Amino acid sequence: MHLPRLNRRSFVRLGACSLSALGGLPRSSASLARAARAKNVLVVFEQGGMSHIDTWDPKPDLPAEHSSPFKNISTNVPGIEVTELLSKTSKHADKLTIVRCMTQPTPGIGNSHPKGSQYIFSGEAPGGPIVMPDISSVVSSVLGTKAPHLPSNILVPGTSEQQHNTRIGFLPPAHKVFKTGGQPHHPDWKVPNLGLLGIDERRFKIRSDLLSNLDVGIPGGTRAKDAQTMLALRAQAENMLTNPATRKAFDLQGEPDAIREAYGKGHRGQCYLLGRKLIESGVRFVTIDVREPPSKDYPGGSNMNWDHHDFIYSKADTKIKGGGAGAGRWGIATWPMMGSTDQAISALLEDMDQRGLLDETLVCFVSEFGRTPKINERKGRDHWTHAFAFAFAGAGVPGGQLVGSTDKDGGYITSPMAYTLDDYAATIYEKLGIDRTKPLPTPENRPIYLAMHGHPIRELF
Amino acid sequence: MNKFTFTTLIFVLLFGEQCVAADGSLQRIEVYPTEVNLLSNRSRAQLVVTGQFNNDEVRDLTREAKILSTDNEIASVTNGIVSPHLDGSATLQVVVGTQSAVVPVTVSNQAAPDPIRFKHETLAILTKQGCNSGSCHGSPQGKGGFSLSLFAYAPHLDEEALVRDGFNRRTSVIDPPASLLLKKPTLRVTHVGGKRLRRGELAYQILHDWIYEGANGDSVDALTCTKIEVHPGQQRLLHKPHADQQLSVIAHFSDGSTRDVTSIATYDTSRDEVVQVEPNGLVRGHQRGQAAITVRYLEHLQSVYFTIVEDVEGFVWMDPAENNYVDQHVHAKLRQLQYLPSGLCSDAAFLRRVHLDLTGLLPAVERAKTFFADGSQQKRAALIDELLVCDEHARFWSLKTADLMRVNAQKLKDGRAELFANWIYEACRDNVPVDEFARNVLLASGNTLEHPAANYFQAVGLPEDLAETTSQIFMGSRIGCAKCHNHPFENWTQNDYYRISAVFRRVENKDNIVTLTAMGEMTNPSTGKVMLPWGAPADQVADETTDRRIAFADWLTDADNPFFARVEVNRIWSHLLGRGIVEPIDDFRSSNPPSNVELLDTLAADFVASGYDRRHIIRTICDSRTYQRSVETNAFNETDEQLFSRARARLLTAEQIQDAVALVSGALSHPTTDDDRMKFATQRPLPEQTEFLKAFGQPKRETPCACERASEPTLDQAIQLLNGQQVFAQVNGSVSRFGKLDDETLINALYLAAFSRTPTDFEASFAQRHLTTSDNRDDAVRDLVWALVNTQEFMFQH
Repeated sequence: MHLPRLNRRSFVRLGACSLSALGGLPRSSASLARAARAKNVLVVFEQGGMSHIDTWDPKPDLPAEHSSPFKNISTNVPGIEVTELLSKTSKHADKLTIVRCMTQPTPGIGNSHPKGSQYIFSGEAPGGPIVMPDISSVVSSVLGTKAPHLPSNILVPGTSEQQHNTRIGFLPPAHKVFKTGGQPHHPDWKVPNLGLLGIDERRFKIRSDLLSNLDVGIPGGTRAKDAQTMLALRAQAENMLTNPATRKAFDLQGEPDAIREAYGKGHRGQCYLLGRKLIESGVRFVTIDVREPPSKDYPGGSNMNWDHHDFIYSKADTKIKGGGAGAGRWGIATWPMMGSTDQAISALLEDMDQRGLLDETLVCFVSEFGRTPKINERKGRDHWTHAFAFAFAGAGVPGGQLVGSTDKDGGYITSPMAYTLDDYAATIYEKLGIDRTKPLPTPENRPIYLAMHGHPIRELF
Repeated sequence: MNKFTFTTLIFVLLFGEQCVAADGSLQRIEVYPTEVNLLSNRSRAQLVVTGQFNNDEVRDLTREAKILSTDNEIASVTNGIVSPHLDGSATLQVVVGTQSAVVPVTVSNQAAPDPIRFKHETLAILTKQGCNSGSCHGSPQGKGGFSLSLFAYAPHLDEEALVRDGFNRRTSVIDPPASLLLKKPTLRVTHVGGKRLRRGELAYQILHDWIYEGANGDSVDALTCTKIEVHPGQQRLLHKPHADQQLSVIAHFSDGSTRDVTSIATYDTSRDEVVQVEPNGLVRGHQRGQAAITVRYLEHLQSVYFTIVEDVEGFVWMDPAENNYVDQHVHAKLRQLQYLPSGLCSDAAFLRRVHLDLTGLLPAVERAKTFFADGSQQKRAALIDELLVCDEHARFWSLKTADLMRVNAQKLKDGRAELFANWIYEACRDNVPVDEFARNVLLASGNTLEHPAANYFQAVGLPEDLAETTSQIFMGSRIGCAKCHNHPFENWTQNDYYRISAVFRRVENKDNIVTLTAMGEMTNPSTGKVMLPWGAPADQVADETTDRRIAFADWLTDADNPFFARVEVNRIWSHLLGRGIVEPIDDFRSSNPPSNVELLDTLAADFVASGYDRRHIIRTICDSRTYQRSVETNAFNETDEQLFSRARARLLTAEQIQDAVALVSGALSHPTTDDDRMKFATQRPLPEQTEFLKAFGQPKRETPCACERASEPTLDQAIQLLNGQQVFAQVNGSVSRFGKLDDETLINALYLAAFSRTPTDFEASFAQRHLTTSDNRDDAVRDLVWALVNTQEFMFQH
């Protein structure tokens, strides 16, 4: 879906038809195999609509009353600039492609947080005849697991809010995203259901032995298919519960202090670190969606996503108790917001690079939309779906690349290319080598094509 | 005539004895159609030659038959297809072995032009070649910038797309072969959809000629197709190795004319391992079994059910005993397809099975003991009768109904969900006839806090949603696809969809009060036409005071309604046997045939005759030997998945397994009062949604689809049973019930509670050793309870 504001015919007149059409064609299996560089995907979803103008797409020429107070800084790649809120990340621009021409093609659909979040999780605008499963669930169902002792699709940490945005759609429940829950940075944090409950390993072993001796099967019916499946699942579950590698994958305490410090020891940093650990442990698809929990460290913070309708540049919390859309949020430049984010992104990129994890892992920094070029009367910025920015790394994504551009206000895309959330989904599928020309059937046998309205972002291949 | 007689003679001499079956001799042949009228120079007619053999076998002989025309200059025959040449009459002589038949042929209008008809031919071809399917140009966005309406539901849009869009490059009247419509699918230029057309094929010729003739759409007074006629009719039985069958498809048009469309109709099979079908309508049977071949032409759809019979080596029918008509029909089908039923299950298996099915709960230990001690021949039937009138039965079965009626407290607030659920329970308890129940729901109105059934209109809402939900629950029909387009495998058209919606168009729900308004019509958005409500005669609709739902309810609950009784008995059957006669149970359509038509029809007829008495049908099924069969397979039914030759082991439902763990661990005892009952998930029509229940597939009650209840094993279930909070707490607590019992009593009690049987010697001694050798007996008891609730025998119903 290129140049969404032009229809196909006017587009042809521009003479760009051939280019766009080539990018849009599903690949032949040979070129698909070449494009398939990713074995895993790590999505960092900073939910709420992060202001692109204050981060990835700086706009020094905004009129004073709407300007961003943050300086432009250069990065380690000549010609690429970001704002000073990404000063640590700027040292890793050589690993990133920054795409400044992201857009939602039909702005009405995903302009709310629940719908926008569902859109980014599933890669298809909500409201169609079929509820589209999350990209991560599709990947889990098509590619299966790489590490049977772990769920293949994990959300870190996963709150009740996301419950309403993630969807399993028509896929079997086995591929539903597994939510770690809780606050991983907390010393007492444990993943529910993945550690033995109230029983030690020795006793569990005794029980398992007892079970295998007493489980005589279904009398006369040992060939029942579901029973065979259940036996295999039980073996997998026992493995999950007792395999030291499962615990290790979630064991943040076991990480060297220097590493934990590098990511930032708070909620966001430790969630990012957990994301890296899970990818390293063989989890196919990890989504990090932190939504900072209320904490006494950040008084007044009760709703700390990026939805800065009010006092976006506040130096601490937005001080609007019980009123205004920005209630319970902290200003964008504060530590719990961009401070911890900049640190965590830079640490993640450096750490994954050093461990060689970027070779086969596609890392995506995303938000459901951007924020308005204009500052509103409450000194905040509102939702903006026309243009926003994502950043990608790993799995063959070229480093030190800028893709697309917006006008001087950051309001509209000026580059010939524009990419949608559908294109983002198509990119993930293609990077993983998933053949989008093969539909998934619903239980009612309706053929469902993956990212049907999307085309891979060419510049990432 | 001389010429004709002579050739016949030659054929008889040359091929005479060749076509006589080894296992039966040919008695006579029939040719379809019995006469052929070719009204245009493009008309063709597919002949179908059928042989009747003296062993009652019916066989398609179209390809073996020798067919000669008395005048090849008027009409000739190639591969069973008649082509016209000059106006006049001729006779076809059809010969197989010693049998022959004649078919008169009339040919006319050969000099008159007969341009290609856009909808009837061009679009039929685009459908047949798959161009306008949902995965190609029929998808909402089209493909590669070329968009067609899905399965040609909107011819005017297709005309626009083919003729005017794409800079006229799709159809080039000046140079037809240069049209993209022909170049792309023949791969003369790149086509992502691959090769779809070959030069020289009929499909190519039709598209080419249509362009050549000017690429015109249909005129406003164009004929419409009123129906299609498929030979050999609704069903056909074929014996391998003679399992081929040529189809003939004849379209009828609004002017009374007919045309053979066999070559341009579209064919699909419901099970391609059983039968496949070629684009020319030749059906080929592959292995024994049953399947539907669905024939589509434009918006018309008809299915032919094929049964392929194949001799299985060593198969001998033993005339197994039959308890009632259920067994008769099941056995007839098994015998026909050569499967042998399993034996009856043990008393222990029956006791556990029938308790779980009828009440949702495991049998009480005391009831098990008295049942085993009972020496009566009739004790199974007596137990069925006993359970059918117990309160647990009414509660458990009302849960199933409440699932479908979308009784959930998020949608039905302030006690409405409880009110509606309780109303459903009372209907089950009083065994309210199912037709009456349906009418009470569909005709409900009033304040939803005072009229429980009116909550149906609160839970569902909007006329379209009501149409879809009502169709799925009471007609087993998924009409949702027809909201936007005619569906390739559904008989329901878009008009039907909006006619059913029109029934509910005037239902209003304001401030939680369901009322009827005097105004409001439903239009089909594709045609803009106002739709007559389903079931209502036109004169009734004119009267604005008439509740349109009444005519619909009358139609729905009429004894001859093709869906209502069948859907309900099929649901009951599926609850008891683990699989519907039609499966999925709410997906009745001609392209998804029942696995046993006679069984379904007889059950439905009995249901109607009983006054829609659900309990009567449950009793009849449970009394049958079919219900009481063992899960154990024999050499002649291992591969049977659909014909009910044996019982199916299946995972307990979410509510069943939660209650079963509670009963075995002693966290709950069998209920005796209403208060007790409300502690069981199977006994609350409005169960809470817990992590445990959700893991085991409890539906959220957001759709009317039975598929919302997941029944497949998952990893989460294994984790919940091995290590979940709920199981952990109940296993821990089991010591208080069992801890004081001596080893033998304890082990016996646990086995009876969990499996309704006593332990084998091995099991008893193994369990006892565990109890005696552990350093902490309480922990050992917990281990034992934990192990038993994790066994397959416990988790499954069998």
